[in-house]
Amino acid sequence: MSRIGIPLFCLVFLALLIAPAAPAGMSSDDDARILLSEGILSYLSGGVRAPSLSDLHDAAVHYPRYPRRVTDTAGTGFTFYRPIERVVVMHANAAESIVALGGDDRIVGVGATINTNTLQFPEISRLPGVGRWTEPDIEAILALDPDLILTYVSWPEPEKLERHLPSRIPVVRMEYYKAEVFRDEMVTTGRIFDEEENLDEYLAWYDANLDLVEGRVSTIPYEERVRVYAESGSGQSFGRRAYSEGTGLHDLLIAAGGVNVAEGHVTGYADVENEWVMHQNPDVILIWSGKAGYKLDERAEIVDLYKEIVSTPGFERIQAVRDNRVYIVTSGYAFGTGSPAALIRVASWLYPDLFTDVDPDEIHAEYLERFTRTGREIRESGTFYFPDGRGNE
Amino acid sequence: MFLLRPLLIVILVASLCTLCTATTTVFIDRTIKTTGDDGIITVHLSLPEGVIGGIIEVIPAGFEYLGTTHADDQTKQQGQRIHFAIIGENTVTYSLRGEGTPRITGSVLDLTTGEEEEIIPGQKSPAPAVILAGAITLAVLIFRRRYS
Repeated sequence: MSRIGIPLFCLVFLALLIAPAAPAGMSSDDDARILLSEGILSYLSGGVRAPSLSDLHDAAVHYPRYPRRVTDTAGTGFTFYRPIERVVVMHANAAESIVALGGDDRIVGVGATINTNTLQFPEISRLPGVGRWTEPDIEAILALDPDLILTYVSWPEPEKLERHLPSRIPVVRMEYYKAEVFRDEMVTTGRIFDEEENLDEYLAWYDANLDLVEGRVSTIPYEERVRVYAESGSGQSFGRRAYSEGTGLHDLLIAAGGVNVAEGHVTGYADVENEWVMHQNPDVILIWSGKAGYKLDERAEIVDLYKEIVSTPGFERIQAVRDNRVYIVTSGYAFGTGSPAALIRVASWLYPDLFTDVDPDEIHAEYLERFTRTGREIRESGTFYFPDGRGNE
Repeated sequence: MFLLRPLLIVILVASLCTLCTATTTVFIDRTIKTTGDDGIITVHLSLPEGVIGGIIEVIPAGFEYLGTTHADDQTKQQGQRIHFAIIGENTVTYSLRGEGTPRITGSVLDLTTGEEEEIIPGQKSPAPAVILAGAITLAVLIFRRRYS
């Protein structure tokens, strides 16, 4: 190197050292820019609802990933200024969704239904319990120092939860079992847990399966659609417990191309007379059960439920019973993150000729493999629907 | 070997400069210009690159805030106080109307450090230009002394 070259090199080196580094990703997220601006301006103005200096500092450190804003299914908006790291999850539907998106490493406490569901949640079921989804254990929650609680829209009631918590702990309310809000809730969850990449992967699978069914059943004329009676067993006061508009089972059978015979007769969950069911003479009876699924020791209860329905006096005259078209789907299958597999299963029950090239079990196995932490015993022995060809029909 | 010494000195000076710029709080340069006879005054604030934070400018009585080229959703007027949210911008320009030169007071909140500093009117930041000039002078002096 020449004599002049070395000092020149030194000066260039010096200039590079002094030159301020460009902030990484500074201009990518306009939502974050607007939120951060609002926060800064509110803070400077001494606004009552202004974020704290600590919030703004953290948002600046994580900009443009943060701040971010989400709205839960209850319609409450939340602004997050930093990544969420300690989450209490009150119900299994939420836990299942978080696991599917890979955010379960941030769960620090779980509701009782998660604690007891060891095969579905082999890891997070061992975390400290925080009570039941209807009866939270406030002391246990506070001891975990969470920065977010995830629970159902209506349970526990705010008087049992928010009222006893400091306002710094946001309570996000989402269902994860209702088809009409499920996809939006997954998007919200992806944003809360900063797992957009996993969210995209999950939604690609979810959309592909929903599109497959819709593409095949949407053109069936209404008068040619299969008439389905949906229920969950005996009524609470009399007859049978029918599922109509506003229930997850209704949404499932409608998405599968069926017509709910109870639509217009009752709404939500309601008891109906056995005679009314017989008079409807549905082509298919679709039953929901909260048993079995990820609980291997509950298969007998599914079998009993099936036998109870097909042997109900007078039901032998119903077309669905005569044709052996009585089916049971379980909670862990029909609703939530695995529901596309159940949708394909139900659609193939209603319109077997349209789905001869699709194996619903294969789609469910793919779901279990890619989006859950379940082991081989669930794949081999779980009863997610019935009849499943493994006996007792 | 005889070339190594000036190189080491320059590297040392550079390192010290970097340390200085890394530990000092945000320096804001304010330039005030009066254009024409219509009483329009342009205030120009220069910031280092990459600042995230806020600026409060307090305009003295007798001067009216007219507007800014800064983004609307990053600006808020509260009487004689103008608030600017800074998200990486390195200049803020706003205009006033009034007679004479306003004695504007201001402060800057640097969210990356959480520190709030007063903007001293007319003060220029010593970094990086002054430090860079000093380092260059030092390097040239060493070079000339060694090879003259």
